[in-house]
Amino acid sequence: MSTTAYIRKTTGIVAIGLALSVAASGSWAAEKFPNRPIDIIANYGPGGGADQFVRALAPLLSRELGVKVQPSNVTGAQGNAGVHAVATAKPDGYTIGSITAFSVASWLQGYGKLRAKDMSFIGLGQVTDSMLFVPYKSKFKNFKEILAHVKANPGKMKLALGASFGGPDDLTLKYLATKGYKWKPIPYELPAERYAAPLGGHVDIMYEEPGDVRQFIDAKQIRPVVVFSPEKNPYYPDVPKITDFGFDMYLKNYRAIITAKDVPADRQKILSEALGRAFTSPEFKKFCDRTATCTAPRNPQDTRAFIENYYGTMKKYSKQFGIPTKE
Amino acid sequence: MDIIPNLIAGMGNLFQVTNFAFLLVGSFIGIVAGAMPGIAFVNAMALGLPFAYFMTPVSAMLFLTGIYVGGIFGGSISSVLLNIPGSPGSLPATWDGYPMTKQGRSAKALGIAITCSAIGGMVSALLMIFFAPPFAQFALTFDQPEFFAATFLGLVTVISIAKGNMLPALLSLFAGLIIATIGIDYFYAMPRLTFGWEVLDSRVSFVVAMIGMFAVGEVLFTLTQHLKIGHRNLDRHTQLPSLKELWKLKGTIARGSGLGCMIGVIPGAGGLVGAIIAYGVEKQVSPRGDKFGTGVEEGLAAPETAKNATTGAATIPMLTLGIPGSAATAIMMAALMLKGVNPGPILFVSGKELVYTVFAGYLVANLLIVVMGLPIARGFSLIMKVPPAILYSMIIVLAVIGAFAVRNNIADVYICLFFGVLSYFMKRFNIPTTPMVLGIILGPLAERFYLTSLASYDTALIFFTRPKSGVIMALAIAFLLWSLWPSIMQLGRTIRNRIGGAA
Repeated sequence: MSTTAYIRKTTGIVAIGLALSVAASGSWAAEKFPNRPIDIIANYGPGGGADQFVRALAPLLSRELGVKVQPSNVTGAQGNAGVHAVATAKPDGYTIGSITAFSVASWLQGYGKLRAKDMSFIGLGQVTDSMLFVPYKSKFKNFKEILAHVKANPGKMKLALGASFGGPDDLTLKYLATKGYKWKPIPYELPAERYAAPLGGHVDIMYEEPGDVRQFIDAKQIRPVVVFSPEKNPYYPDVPKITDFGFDMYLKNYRAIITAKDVPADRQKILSEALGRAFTSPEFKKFCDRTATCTAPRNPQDTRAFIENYYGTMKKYSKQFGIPTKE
Repeated sequence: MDIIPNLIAGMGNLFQVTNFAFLLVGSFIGIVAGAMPGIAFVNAMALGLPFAYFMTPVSAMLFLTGIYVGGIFGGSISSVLLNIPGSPGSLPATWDGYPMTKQGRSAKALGIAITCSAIGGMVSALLMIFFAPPFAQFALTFDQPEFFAATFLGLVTVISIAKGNMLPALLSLFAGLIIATIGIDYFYAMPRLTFGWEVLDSRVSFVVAMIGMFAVGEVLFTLTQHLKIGHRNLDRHTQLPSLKELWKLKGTIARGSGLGCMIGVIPGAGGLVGAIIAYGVEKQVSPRGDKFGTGVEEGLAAPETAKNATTGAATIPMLTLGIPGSAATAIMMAALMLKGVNPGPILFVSGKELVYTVFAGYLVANLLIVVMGLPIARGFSLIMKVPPAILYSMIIVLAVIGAFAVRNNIADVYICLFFGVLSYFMKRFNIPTTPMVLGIILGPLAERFYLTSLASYDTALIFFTRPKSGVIMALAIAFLLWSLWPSIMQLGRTIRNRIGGAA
């Protein structure tokens, strides 16, 4: 008897509690967003480009949103583990994270199961060209001389690139080979080894983003000879464009911010507006200047278009150059 | 030569209250994190990075230096006391350090670990202070063939670890090499042995495998065997070796320091490879080599010296060239870049104050190992008094946290537990686990260096025709013959006897 009474009593309390919590969550939904800390996930490890991007943004977003924005790293699968963590997080807008061109390019090689349609884009804040660099004391004065040398000695000139088969650098070399310029690609998986290669005289030339090797350019250890872009690079205006030599292939790297697909539209709007203000702040300007990656910030629609377009381009070139894609 | 005045200025800078406090706190965190089974000090450095954001570049670097130097030593505390390496580099410390504990000589073992780590670290700090720029230039002359040769030397040393029974050790090593191929290969982006399981695409992290094999595996094995981890009658005091005892180890320490400094510059190798090669070489050189594995001082001193000697050497390319060769130095470089400081040759001109303060930091952090290592080791000895049920659960919890922290991925926890069970069965069937871990660590390096060498030089002869890699390969082959010599002689004798008997 007393047990039943007890159960009845507790059921009552639980019911009241449930009712209260439902009411509370209802009012919470109507409350302003955000009202608690936001997680921002870098999809590469500490120290990498994506990590620097996220850690530069976090305090600026905190200021804009009025809540703490806490950075962390989820690494693996060419950055797709981090993308997966963000895109499959609870769609409440409290988890955002970075995505980069290399993660998107790696979809073609079988990394990651999610595609652009499976996530929401908040904005894009960094775009960078790639360049070819030679050791500062290289006998080659300019890109014209290099092209002449490569044409005369096909497959002889050693070129250091990242070890991503079918990646932007690999595709660019394959494209140049179809035009009669065949280098000898040496893939270096670790950036550190790649940078050491021209410094130690183990390769003749290197494919890299200027922001990543700025210290070597400043120290006059390497110099850029060409930029893969139809426009001059604002940070290195003296470097000739690849289009000056009659080529029309240029794959840029970029870093953008995503969140889960089903985050309510009003929250996405709050996030993208805050991100837009962070991107145009003097602090971020200083950061992107240092890494030679400043660009006009893109809104969510333009970011999606940019990324889908990039993916399409990569796919087209992969097909063209016979790279088996695992879609 | 303005090195001495610069260093004195650096010392002055270091001993400013905040700077020194950060080095002190960093060293403490490093030693404790290193000593906890499962928690690698690199995790502690990665966790420390966001804090570095709020410090001055000098304080941030000293803080991380402290964690790095302290952490690479700290792992040996649990190696010696629990037979569980707290950090990868401390794995060889279990081979002779733990037997010493079982003999009731843990105080002496810890003393040797502390002293030799400190000496190795200081030698490498001095190398950094006086020869950083020329050493960096020397390091630049190493290309992929040299890295492959050094990795090959590392693989060969596994023979010295195989105590007598070669076949199970080789079996374990090759199984490790196969596990190392799991994932999407970086050369042609082909998935290997992933069985469509996405989690395996990004390969098996050796840290995760190691935590599983040594922490989880050790607990499982001990539980089922009704044994106890560690030794109950521990001497709580750590006994630093006397000068006379140290003098006896002078050759060991010199070789360990030299090898550690050399291996430190190889990207991706780090403290563990340095320590293993030092152990293998010492086993061949030492008159007591045949007793290694039973609690021999030299067998503990060599790897302990070498692993801390890799710290300065690994930092030189990062500071002088802006090329980080290990996860730890990459995190330090990230801290500098977050603060807008670009490492590289210019730093030696424009950031002299920072550079020399960091140099001073390395020197002093290694001294702090001695000062702080003693009480922390004593604290850990007390843990041994904790009832086994609590101690084992604690180790498992730390292992799970540590495995998760590697990539913030729950799949790594399952992989870690899988390796724990695997290691249990290997122990049951007397198959050594260390060669497998070596295979998992060195396999991807060997494959990468080998393939890149071929891409660059077209022929496998390059490993012998390039002078530096040729020397290392010759060393590896001499090493192989040397360790196999008794078996070869034995075989020869057997054959001769057979023929003799037949005639």
